[in-house]
Amino acid sequence: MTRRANTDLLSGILGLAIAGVFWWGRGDVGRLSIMFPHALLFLLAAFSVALVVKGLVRPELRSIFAEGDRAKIIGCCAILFVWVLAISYIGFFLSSVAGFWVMACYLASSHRKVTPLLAAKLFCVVLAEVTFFYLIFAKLLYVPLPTGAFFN
Amino acid sequence: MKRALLLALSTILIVGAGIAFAGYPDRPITYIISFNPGGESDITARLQEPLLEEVLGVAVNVNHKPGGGGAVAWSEFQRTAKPDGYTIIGTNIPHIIGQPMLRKDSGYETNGFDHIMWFHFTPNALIVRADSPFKTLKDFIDYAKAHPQVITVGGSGTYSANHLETLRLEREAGIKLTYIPHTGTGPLAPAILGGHLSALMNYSMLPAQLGDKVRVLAVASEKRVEALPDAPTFKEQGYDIVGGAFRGVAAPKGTPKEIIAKLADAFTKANKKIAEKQVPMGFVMEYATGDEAKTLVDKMEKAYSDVIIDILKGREKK
Amino acid sequence: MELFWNVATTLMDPFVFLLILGGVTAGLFVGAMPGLTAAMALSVLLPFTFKLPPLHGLVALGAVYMGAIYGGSFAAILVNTPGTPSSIATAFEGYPMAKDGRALEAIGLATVSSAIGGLAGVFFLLLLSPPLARLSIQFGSAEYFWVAMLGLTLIASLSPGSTLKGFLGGSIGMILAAVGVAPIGGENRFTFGMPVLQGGVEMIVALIGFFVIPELFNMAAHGRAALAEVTLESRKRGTFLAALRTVLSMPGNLIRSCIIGEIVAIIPGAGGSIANLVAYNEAKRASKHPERFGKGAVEGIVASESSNNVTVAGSMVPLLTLGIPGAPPDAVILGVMLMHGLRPGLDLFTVSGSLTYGFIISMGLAALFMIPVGLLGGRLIYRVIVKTPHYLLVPSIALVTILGTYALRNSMSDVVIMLLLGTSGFLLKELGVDSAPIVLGLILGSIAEMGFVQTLLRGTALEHPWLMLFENRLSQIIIVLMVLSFASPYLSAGVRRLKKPLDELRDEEPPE
Repeated sequence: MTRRANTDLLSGILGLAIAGVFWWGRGDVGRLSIMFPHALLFLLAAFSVALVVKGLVRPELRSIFAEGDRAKIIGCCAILFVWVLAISYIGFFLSSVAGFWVMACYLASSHRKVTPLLAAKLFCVVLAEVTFFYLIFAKLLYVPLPTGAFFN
Repeated sequence: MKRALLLALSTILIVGAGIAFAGYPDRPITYIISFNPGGESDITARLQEPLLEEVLGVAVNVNHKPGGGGAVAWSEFQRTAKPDGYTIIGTNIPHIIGQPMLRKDSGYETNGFDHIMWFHFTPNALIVRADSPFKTLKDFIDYAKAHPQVITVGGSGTYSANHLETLRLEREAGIKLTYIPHTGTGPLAPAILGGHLSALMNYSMLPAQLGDKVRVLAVASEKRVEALPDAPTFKEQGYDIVGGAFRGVAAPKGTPKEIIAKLADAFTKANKKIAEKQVPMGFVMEYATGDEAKTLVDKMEKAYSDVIIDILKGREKK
Repeated sequence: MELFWNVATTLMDPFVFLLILGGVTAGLFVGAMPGLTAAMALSVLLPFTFKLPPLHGLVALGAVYMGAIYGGSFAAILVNTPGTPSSIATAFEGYPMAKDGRALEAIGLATVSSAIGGLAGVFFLLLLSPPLARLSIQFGSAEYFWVAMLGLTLIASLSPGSTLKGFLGGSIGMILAAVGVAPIGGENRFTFGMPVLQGGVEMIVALIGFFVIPELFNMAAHGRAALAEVTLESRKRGTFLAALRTVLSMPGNLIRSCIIGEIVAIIPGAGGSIANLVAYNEAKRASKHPERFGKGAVEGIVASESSNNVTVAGSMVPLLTLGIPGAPPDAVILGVMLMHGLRPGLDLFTVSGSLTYGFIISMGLAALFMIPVGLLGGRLIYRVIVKTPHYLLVPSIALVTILGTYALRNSMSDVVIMLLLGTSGFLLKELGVDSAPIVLGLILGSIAEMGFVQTLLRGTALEHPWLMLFENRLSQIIIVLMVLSFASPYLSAGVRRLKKPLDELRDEEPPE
């Protein structure tokens, strides 16, 4: 299913929205701190308006979100966020093993049925890989990976 | 009978506490540095690390958490660090004084630390290029009086030690300069050598590094800096300006005094040994521990307060 | 002569050779992983170098640095994500080549170009340090501003299709750069009440977010990684000799890219990240077939990879002569030097001469070592990536990305920011706003702001402070370059349109 949209108009509106959010959050600061950002916000607004105008006057329809399995994108995105947010709670190692494994199984399911055997094989690979990188970063390079509030 | 019981109980408590604290440290200590690796805070910490480990008997892990001129690490430290002596953080004056006062949402407070020690001091120095027409501080000030705002003075950061000292100089000498902030000390060297600025107000390490390419008009320390024997102090030339960046280490508020004392002892010993590397680089060693540490913070707060109040008043006018 | 002998003997130590080899290999792997960068590798290595004697420590750092800048090309070619910001442009040509089954050819070209670039940088450092150092301090705040503006004109060429959207992206990038403490003024902007945002958006975090995450989503959506198997012909072209022949067949491109790399390198604060984009753009402008760019033009890879490796030794010109780091990893090297009591300046080349020259030449050796390590390692990495099923590749990259982003500043908030930027980057890409202009805006935004506000401050005493922006000769030169760079696509299109009727007339003339 291809969807065609007026991306000029959409990106222009998005630009204006972004400019608006940043304008609201600009903080109560002095002239020196704000003169450049003011100019930037103005430019952003100007380009956005130009795009909106182009979108209305000479729209070029483009297909968006057309390629591939869109559900997988949303799924991946969700898994990534949960993975990262979980790190502060249950520590890097656990959330990475969990997140990696869930993502691997999820992505594999687009080609083949994920049998318990496959899932188990994946789990072993995941465990090995996460342990490998964990050791390198935490032990060799002394990067203090979060151990999770739950365990402290 | 009751008194004996009381005595016994208190003895047990004291001994117990002593044992509990005598157990300190029994695991690695995390030493957080709120600036980038390779910078002065980092190098100092790396020099201290092996010596601290020797004295304390446990591993000391140096961690970097740069961002916001230190504010990101300091705010997170005050929010999350446990006062058990296993997490300490490098601190800097005047950053921890200036930032909470002059920045909204800096996220921490000047008095939210239990200061362990201030171990060195890099005094501010007024520097010009070797071929500059200003041969002495007097030349500089006379010219500034005649031409307000013409002299451009570069320094590291806004509302930092360099900046506040420049404002103080303006106040004490009754002159108007134009201070131009830069990100860190790095960009200052090409700026002065390339003639883009008239002068620099930076730390004593820069002239020690650049040697005879620059001239130091004055240093903001009590006595002359060992690494710069030809540089007169502001005091010698009639201006009571003493200031610069102090570096120290602090623990979260509420850390037991015994632990702080132990850490202070370890840092003092480390300081004595690293002095031989740091003094030639332009540092002035300090040994302000315990109450002296807190007093130093208060003293510097007072010293800069005039200038800071001016800044705040200037902002309100807008 | 005695100096030469001293240097030769210090370098002939097998331990030093091993250090260089090991350093280049380690650097290569670090650079190849999206999320880990040269500066990061050096700062991690820093404590280990303290235990080594000064020469060995510096040699190790130099080798890792050289290897990392080269290694970034692997990720760029194979996974469309620049491994370091110095390989952003390599992805533009390398990835399309990989998709066409020409991955090994691309790796071969990147390897040879990087080696030549590295050697060129050492050459500049050895022979041209004094005049280059003098040039580097000519760059003041106004020049920085105009160089940033010059960089921003690249946006137009990086957004095929819609220049407007490109500038939209660029301004978004510049606003992201403004989040945090104002460099002048010291107050918090755009922090929305969160103290952690005082640290702003770190460039690498944005780079990873905007380049890696959307690519991961793409792979997830397509259900496979996009690499095609390498054809036999392409494999032949990927050998050392074939790649060397190809690279040497474009001397103009090569020399120009190396010079661009050197000039950018000596500007303190700018490094490979800017060099590769400028060199790429110039290669595109000078090319006889600009339409091939974006689809696998070898000139693009050569330009990008040679210029970025020039910056390794090139950015040490201001470092060794004046103590001014030319690029972020140099700050770490400076720290090590100061630690060992080595003061930048004349002394370094006379009193500590054998150490300094030994260090410089070791970087040249590192550049040479990159060839065998790279070609072998490249094939290895390529095989691993092609054989790995996408459902393991995607989360693997995610893992390394999370680790790398965290390791940057030991900050989980950086990782969250990276994800947020990545997701937005993906959405923006769907709308036609490409990632490269955004990241370019981010890189250049703070440089532009600093330069602009500092120059205005410097002119406080003048009646019209903004005139300071145009005062210096160097500023004026850069402004002219900027105008030319911006106008050139329109100029050449205009020239072509003028030529068309002339050509047509000529064709119509009856033969005499």
